[in-house]
Amino acid sequence: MTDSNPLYQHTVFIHPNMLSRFSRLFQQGVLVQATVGCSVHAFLCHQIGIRPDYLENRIQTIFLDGKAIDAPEQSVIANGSTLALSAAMPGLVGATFRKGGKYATLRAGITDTSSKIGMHEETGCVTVRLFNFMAAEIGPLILKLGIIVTGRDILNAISDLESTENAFRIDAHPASSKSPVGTLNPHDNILLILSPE
Amino acid sequence: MDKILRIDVGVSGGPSFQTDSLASYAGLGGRAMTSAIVAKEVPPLCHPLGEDNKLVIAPGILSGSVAAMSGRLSVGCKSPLTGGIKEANAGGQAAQVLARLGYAAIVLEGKPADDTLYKVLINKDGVKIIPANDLKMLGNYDLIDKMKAEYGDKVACISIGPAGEMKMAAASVAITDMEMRPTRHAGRGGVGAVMGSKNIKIIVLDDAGMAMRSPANVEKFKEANKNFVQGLKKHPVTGQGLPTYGTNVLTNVINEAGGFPTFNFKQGRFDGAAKIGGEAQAELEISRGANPTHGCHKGCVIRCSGTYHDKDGHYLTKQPEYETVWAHGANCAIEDLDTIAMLDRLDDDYGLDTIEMGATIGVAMEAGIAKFGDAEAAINLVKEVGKGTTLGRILGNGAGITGKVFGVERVPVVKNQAMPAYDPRAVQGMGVTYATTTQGADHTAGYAVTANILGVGGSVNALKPEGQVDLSRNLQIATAAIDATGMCLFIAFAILDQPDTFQSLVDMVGAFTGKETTADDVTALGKQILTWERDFNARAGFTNKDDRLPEYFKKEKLAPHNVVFEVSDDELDQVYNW
Repeated sequence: MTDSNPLYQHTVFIHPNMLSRFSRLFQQGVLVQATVGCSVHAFLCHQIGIRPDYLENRIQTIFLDGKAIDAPEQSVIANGSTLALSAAMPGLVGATFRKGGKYATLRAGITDTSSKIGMHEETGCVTVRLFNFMAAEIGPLILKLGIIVTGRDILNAISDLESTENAFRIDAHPASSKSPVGTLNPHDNILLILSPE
Repeated sequence: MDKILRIDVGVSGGPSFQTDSLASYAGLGGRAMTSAIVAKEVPPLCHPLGEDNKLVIAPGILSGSVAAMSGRLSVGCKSPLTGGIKEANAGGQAAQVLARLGYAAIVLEGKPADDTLYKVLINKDGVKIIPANDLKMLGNYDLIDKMKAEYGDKVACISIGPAGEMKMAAASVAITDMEMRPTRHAGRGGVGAVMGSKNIKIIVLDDAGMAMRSPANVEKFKEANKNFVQGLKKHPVTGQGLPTYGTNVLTNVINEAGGFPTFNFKQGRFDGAAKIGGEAQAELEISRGANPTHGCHKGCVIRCSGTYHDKDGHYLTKQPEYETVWAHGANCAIEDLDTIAMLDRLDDDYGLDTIEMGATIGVAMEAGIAKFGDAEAAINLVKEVGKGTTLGRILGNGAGITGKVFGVERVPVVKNQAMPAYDPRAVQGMGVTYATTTQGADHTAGYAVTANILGVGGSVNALKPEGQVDLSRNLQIATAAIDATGMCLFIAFAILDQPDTFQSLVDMVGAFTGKETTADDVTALGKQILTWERDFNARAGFTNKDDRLPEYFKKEKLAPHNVVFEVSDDELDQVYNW
């Protein structure tokens, strides 16, 4: 064990050219250590580093614990929350789930009404899901902060690679080409971080 | 587009045809044309497979011109599935070609004197109706290969597979795409069974020597069309999301919302959703040399249809749509894209509605005929349908019949038509449309998100609970009107968000017809279509008791949000109160 954080056993740095291999993970959801008890807007813009205009225009649909939200400034992320982001979607239902959309009433029963009352900011974990274009556009920002995955997630993502030389660094050590992540236990929790270019 | 082709299949000595003027149907297209003819000429109490029912095939009013996205073809009749009026529409090449040949509609009528099967050839020289018993029980793919060998690859075809010949209530009418594959289907309501009841296997359309339809104001039309295309291309849904991922881009989102019906509508989330979603599907298609960005007809600039290759890189089917991926995937707990694609191929080949078949197999799995998640069993069940075994004939007649035969209570149908891929407990506004549309449970009946921008029904306060009923009404009116144009419903997103794109569409319609079109005209047309349809259904015996969801949607809570359908019957009865 090389890190003292109880949430993970190793830190793995990945080269930016490996990014697309982890897009499926973002659809399934990745765990991010963050300050919780804040608004969705604060989480995305202040912690992840998303520009407010990108949040306003590009991210058209946001789910907090499976409920559509209309006002990111008001909906509050709690420890253990799941936040899912999507670009604009087709179909009536796609339009229905847009934040603040004209057809929001059609899904009134599953609209988030969370409130900051009684909440306070603390360190916690949030599961983030990135659908469609969000994985490629926001994934790198989140990977700069680090996501917590399992060793198996990494092994699955690179299973067909012939060589991973220079693609990974485990803790302080470069991965070899023959056994790139062989030292990882599939059940280990890993902090996966994007290396600088 | 100034004539109607009527083919009477009941004439002694074989079918005969005549060409009529449009008369009172002048100016109508698409759904307006099919519903007007059915409402006026078909006795509502007739047997759907009998002498008095008619199958009406109509391009939209803009079809056959260079207007982008104008390739939808409407197919209408009295439905053997619902017993009410039906309009099913599809993309593909046929609407454009039929319109260029000058026909505003083809009407198949009468009762065949014997069991001879026919093909119909329509070209610039006229119409030929030819005995074609050699085509009996051919799947759509083999059938189209034969036509290609005989007539070349520039024709467009409208056909039925074995399911239509066996007059199954889930039978579709297939339309060929740009590569002359039978991939686009007017799927819903058993329109293929009505074509089968007329003993017409295929209609071959050849527009060689025919010109594009000309607009009244060429320059204004050209400019408006150019601006319209630019608007579609710059919008994130029509210019980016749909071309990149197809309609299946919805899977992960609807699943996240808890509205993705799973295990025959038992729960709203499927654990395997990410494996079958549009993102995974597009990645797999690209890795196998297929193309997720592909138009279903010439003039399509959204290009959401795509192709799907098997593991060896050979064409298997078109890119399965969101509804198909849900129906054959999550609804049956199947999380393998290759299985879903194979089921899509079989449905297209036999000529079956993928929504009805997926829902039916879900009911069959609930009955214990197969286990949820058993991919091989699902494929075998669809093959039973294609072979016409006793079990297959039950399944091929839809979820409602299957539920009755096997004693299943949880049968997701309205007016006996299976629900599509959005659970109405999670998206209650969709439930209002499922319940009240004239068509039976149908997600596209209230799909035109342009209702507000068109000004249909005035401005609705979206924060009021009753807004769901008002919105559903307005959406149904707007959708009926757009279905009359031949325009793909997916244009709605760009015209919802971009006023200049909406104006381009209005300008284009006006320049084509030479008549100024206003929002009031659109509303009036939509209401007129719905009034014809509603009146037909009333005369067929439908009452407000038919405008209801199955009882279990009000009682069984849907996980993960534990919601039930809460819109009251009184509210549902207000949808047509205009």
